[in-house]
Amino acid sequence: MVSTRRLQLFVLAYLASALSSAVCVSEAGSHLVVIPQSPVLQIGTNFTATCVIINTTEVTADDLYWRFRQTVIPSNQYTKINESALSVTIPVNNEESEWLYCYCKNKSPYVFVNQGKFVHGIHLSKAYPPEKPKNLTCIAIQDGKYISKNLMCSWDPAEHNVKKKPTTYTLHVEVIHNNQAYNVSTEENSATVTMESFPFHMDLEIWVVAHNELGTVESEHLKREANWFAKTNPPSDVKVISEETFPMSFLITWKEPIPKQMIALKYQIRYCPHGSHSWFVVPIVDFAKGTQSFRLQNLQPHTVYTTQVRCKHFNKGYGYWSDWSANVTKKTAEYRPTSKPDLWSIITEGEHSNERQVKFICKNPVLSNGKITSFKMKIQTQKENMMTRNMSWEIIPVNDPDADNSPSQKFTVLKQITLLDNMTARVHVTAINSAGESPQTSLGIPEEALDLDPMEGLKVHTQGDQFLLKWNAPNNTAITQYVVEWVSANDTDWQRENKSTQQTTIKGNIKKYICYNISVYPIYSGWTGKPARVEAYLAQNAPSVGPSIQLNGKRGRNEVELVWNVIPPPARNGFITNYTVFYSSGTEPVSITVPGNVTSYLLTSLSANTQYEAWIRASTIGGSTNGTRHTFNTLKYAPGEIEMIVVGVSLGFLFVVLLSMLLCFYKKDVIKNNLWPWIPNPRKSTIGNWSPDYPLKPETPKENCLSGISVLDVDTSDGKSLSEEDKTSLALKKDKYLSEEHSSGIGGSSCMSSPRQSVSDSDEGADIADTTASTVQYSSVVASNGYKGQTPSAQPQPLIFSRSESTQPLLDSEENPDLSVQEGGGASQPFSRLPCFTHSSWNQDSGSFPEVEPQEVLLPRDSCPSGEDNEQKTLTDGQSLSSYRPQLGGYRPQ
Amino acid sequence: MADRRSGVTGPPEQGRTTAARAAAIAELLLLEISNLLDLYSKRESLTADVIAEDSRLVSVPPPSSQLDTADKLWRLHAALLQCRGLMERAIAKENEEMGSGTGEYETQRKMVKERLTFLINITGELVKAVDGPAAVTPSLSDSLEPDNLTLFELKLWVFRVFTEVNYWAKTAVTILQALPKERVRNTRYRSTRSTRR
Repeated sequence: MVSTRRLQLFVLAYLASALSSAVCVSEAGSHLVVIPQSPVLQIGTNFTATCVIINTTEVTADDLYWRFRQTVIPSNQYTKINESALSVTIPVNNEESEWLYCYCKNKSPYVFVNQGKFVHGIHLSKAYPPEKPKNLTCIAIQDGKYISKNLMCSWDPAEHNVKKKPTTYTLHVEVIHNNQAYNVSTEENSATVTMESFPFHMDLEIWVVAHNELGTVESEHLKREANWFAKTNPPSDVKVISEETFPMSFLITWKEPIPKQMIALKYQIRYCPHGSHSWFVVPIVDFAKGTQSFRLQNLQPHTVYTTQVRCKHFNKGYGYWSDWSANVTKKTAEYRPTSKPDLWSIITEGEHSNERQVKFICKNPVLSNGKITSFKMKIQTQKENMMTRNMSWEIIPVNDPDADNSPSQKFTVLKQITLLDNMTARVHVTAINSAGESPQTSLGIPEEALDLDPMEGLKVHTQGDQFLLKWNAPNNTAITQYVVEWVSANDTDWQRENKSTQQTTIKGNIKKYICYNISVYPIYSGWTGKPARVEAYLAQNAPSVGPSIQLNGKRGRNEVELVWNVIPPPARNGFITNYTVFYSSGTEPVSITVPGNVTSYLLTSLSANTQYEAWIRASTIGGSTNGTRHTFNTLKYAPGEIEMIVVGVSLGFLFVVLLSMLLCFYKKDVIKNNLWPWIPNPRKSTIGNWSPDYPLKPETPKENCLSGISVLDVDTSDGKSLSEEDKTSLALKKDKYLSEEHSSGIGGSSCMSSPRQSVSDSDEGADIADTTASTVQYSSVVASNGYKGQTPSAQPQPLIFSRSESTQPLLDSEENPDLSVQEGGGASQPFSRLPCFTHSSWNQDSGSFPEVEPQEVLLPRDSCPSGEDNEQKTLTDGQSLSSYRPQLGGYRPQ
Repeated sequence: MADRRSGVTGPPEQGRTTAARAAAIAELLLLEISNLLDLYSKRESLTADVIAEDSRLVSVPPPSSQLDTADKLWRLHAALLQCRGLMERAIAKENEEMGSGTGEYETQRKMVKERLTFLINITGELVKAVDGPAAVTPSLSDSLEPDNLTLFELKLWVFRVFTEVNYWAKTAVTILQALPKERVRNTRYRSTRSTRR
């Protein structure tokens, strides 16, 4: 060890002295030299550099120091070789290129002044040594009729590689015995060698040389026959032949992709039912060398298979498998059904109470081996073990044999019969295809009343996307199998389980949110027993639609009954667990939850005459859905309340009326006297002995005797109309006039006639004068102060003399004022409806239009309204107010 | 410095025997020369009856049932060497007369020549392996020298060459397939041993 160290120091010293002369020139006077120059270091090792002092004695090795990575290397890493050489050892632990410097301390002024001569550095490049290429593999693929002359080889990439110092790989390929050698270099881990031609059957020796600045290393040599590396195309022209005489086999033929003189091939076949991805691979041992056909056996008749073939060098371990050939799809020939059809029945209630409707349905045999074109069916019925009826075999064609693989066409409806409850039926069915007939299957329908240990304890659980059924086996050893039936709104299906089964999963396509009615039937030697049934959902969801709501009956004042429809089964999506009734009058909704079997609810405590909004939420365990909102108003009154008010009011009114009537009845005289004062009947009046010359015997008129009309003599001298302001004064005047007793002459009208007219000398009243001349003139004093109303004056009035123009004799009452007015009330018409002409009527002569319609007023007979009515009359100039008018009612010719 | 050669993967002869491979090459040569003959016949509109079947271009000792395997191999090897010489000269003459092409015929012709070389080399190994006589230098008959031939004569001569190769390919298949099935030891080691001897 010591000698080795000495030898090393000696060599370094020698090198330093040897270099000193050469470097002296090149370094232009530098007194330090580091060796080795620009080395490539192996990462992971230690590197030793030596700094040598040349051409000076100013410094010694003790004055030197090293700097690396911006720091001074500790002196413990130094080795003093001699007085003029100092080495340092550093670890090479990264890939980065770096500089290593040798410095000298400023020992003397010379060194200080010539610092540039007392420093030297070297550049350290680093790399990994080349790694031995591993897992060398080569391949030559087929190109046209031959294998390509390009041989592509690859090997594992090196674990360590420095980009600045990459490793170069040289791929060598040598054709043994032929002295042909090829090589190609690359920095990747794969390369392709192009040869003159692919050397079939010749031995190749292949290796890779890895090289970089740290060395060279070779891979292991592959010495293989060239065919070892060949990969051919897949077999071409693959044909699959189906033969009717061999319905369970295929004959497969193909052509070799390359002449056997180049590569002797072996083949591999795989096949699978069409649509399946589970391949069956034919063992290679079944192939003879160079075979180009094969017969696949043990296939299912009438089944579509997909077949592929590939090839490889025949010798074991040689070459690569080719890719699989393209799919070839072919169907095997038909064969007679080799399994029984699956017969089942659907029993429903008949039209009558003692019968059943039995529908026989049948699935195709599992091994139908062809298209089932028809079923052959025979039914045997028996009534109370007495009479047996055998029907003949019946052929039931399958309508659409092409749809036998359709998922929606799971079974064929064979026949539907009506079966009495006390009858049994036994059905035998075979399936027929073009190649033959299947074995026979049978099904028995027992009497309705026959109780064959019904199933019990059926429970349904969900297991993933399937139903898991569990049931208890009846204590009956005669059970031969079970039939599990599941029925939904749009689907009916069943499956059979053997007699030892007490737990199974439904193998059909079960959908979520669909209600399935699941039944397990025990089968007793072909006779169907009583099933156990359960309704189940695979998964539940919120109903698709909510219930629609409406009111039941009439609305109330404080209560309303809501009814809602049952959600249709397809929209339920689960079992309805409850309904929640919401109602609101614009405030926070009130909710009430009711069970799922309730479809109505009576809302109470509602406010009268209020608008409410109500809706129903249907809930399943999978969620809830609100129904449509319904708005309604509560009534202002409760039903019957209005009727009660009306009846009450009516009764009250009736009571008042009756009370009034009674009052009137008992107080009629008072009322009569107040309302209808007694008026003497003029018709019944008689004229006493009266003549103008006859002195008037004044009689004291009785009060309230209104038989005459006071005469209003209006002073027309001024010709002015009477104004309202003058009414009062007019009334006073009227009284005055009346008191002056302007009496008309005989034959004149006493009713509102002017004095001038009353003497019958009027120019305008010729006819009147004639009429007057033919009448019996009479007059009487009827009132003292004129009639102003029907209220008798309590005070005695001065006597008024009035002359009547009536031709009627005076009433007796006039002579006998004690007579009642009522005696001639009806005929005498003490009051009559007379048109009372206003002054406009009188103004017709003056050409003025009437301004007021004629009015009907109640006037006493032979009288006109006096007072205010008369005051409204307008008197024109030159015309005297004439109060005369024909006596239309009160005058009657004698 | 790492070792330049780190070793050889697996046993030297892991696959078929050299004889089997030689037989396979002979079969391939027979296939390729047959294809070449077909191409040439179609190209030159020649039929097999234009040449005499018993006229041989290759001159080797006549076959005999008394020849042992080594002698048969040696005879075959010598004939194949002469065939390659004929092929080379035929290719050269055709290229000289009609120019070199890159069509299917030319490619097939080149491959036959290369396959023939392979067969010669592996047959030579077999000869060495069975300690047969030293390899002979092909000596072609002067009468077969195609110089001074007309173009038609050249075509016939080329056709004869191809036919001769076809003949010796068949012969090679026969001889090589008749070799013992036992695995022949590595020819390199055998040749090394022979060299030492």
